[in-house]
Amino acid sequence: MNNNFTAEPSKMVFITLNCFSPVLHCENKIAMLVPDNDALPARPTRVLYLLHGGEGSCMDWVRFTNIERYVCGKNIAVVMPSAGPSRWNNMAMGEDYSDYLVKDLPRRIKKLFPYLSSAPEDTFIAGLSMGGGGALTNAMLYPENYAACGVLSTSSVVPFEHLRPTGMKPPAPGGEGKPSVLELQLGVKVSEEASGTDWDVVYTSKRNVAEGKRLPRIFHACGMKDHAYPAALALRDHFMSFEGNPYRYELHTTETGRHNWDFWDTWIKHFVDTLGEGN
Amino acid sequence: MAFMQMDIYSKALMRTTEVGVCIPERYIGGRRDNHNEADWDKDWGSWPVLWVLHGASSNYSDWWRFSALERYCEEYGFSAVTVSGDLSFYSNINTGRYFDWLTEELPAKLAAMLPISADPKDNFLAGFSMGGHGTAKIGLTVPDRYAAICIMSAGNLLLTGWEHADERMTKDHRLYLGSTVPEDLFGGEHDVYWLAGQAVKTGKPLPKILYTCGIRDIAYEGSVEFYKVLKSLGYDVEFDESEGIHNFDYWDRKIEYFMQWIKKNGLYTDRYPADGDRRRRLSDL
Repeated sequence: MNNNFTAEPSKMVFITLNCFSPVLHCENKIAMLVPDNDALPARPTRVLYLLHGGEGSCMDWVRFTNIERYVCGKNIAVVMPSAGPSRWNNMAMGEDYSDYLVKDLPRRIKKLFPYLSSAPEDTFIAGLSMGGGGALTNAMLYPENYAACGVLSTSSVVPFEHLRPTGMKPPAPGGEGKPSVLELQLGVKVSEEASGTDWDVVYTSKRNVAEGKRLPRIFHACGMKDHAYPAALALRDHFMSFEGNPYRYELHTTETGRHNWDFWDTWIKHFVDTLGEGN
Repeated sequence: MAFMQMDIYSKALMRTTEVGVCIPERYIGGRRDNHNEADWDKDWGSWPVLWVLHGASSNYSDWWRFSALERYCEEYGFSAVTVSGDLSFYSNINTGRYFDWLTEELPAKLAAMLPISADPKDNFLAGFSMGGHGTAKIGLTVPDRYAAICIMSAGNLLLTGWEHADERMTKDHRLYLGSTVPEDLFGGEHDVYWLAGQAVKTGKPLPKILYTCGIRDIAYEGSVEFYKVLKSLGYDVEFDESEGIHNFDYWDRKIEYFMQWIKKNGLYTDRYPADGDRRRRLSDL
């Protein structure tokens, strides 16, 4: 196949898609990687919704990691939307990005790419930092939509946000005196005030177990040098407190791991590898 | 409307290349002015597709940037595809098999990936200048692959402007067509008159042809001549001329006209015969 002179051509197609979302009431850009097939694959292609972090965009994963090489040959497509000003939730003062991510986007993707599977057992969600929180929050809110959830170093997660170092509050996007990011996203001054809502993963994950829902597997990775590590330990303690580990929760860590793309590039590969070949 | 730009590997070109695609969303509940939840549950089948070719020295982005192609696609219910034809004259040349990419490899990939029809009765081809030549060349070389083609602002390439070719253009001819002397190329794959005759001889179904050129376009006389050749060979061809020169003002108007013409001529296949309301809305446009 490969000779010594050229890189082997990618078996993925990179797509930037622009389309209107009725939920967001706006045109949006979405980055996608889909398998490069000359014919329909033997079984429908699985879909990984891959979320960027705070202040990022849909292009981050392809720009800063090797995601295309990691998913190649696994009959899996990657859909990378943009969170806008949200934390992948329905904003208190803003648009409903959770509805967009969980309800609007998948059916649009299904219409535009009919060979992609929409079955829950073929659908995964993952993200880094704020996107890891978004993946976990939405997977807990809609547990039966996803087979697996990948959480990479997040501290943007209710009710453990107080565990991140203080002094990390971003300025208000609208300028001084205007609502803070937290107020826009969650309608609260401090994150813990959102406890007991749909955006509280402790609350929703307990509710899922109590209601006997089918639950996604949770793959969590956070380095010990990451400011999100205390939050990671709190999440671990919470998910391991369920009898029998119904979420098949795993925390992976390294002594040197930091809050950066080196870590996310390494660990998104490990997460993707847990999804199997899928052919 | 969904508009996408693809970076995709082509075996025929032996490199990664670009493709532009739009898919109408009007009938899948996507538009702000026509949002209908029930539309999500319908299977709208696959869309008719218009392959649109750019002129020399350009790429897949031209049509999207300089015309309102996407808006017309939404309005008339077509998907559209553009490719990067570079300076290939849409032929298989030494630096890449553009003809194979456009007629075989890419259609198979897109039909597997997107809701666009692979049925020749739903496939249409149009282009201007070098893309007009490409439209004629492709439409006449694989005549049974397209229901209709629209040649814009291009006559027989071998009879057009060779005597005025500057150094750069001469180099293009040498590199991409294989000769700087048009007579060398008569009776070959770049000679659309010859191709037109060959296509008739195959006995295959021939595409309906809309031939259009602005009356002040430098390609006007060559276009009239090629039209007469097609007519004399028995093609179902219509010549359309109006005020215009060799530019996107003209091609923008004419790509919309081609979609109207396809519908007027009954070539737009209604894909939803069970749904009277929407069928009427699609075909009445």
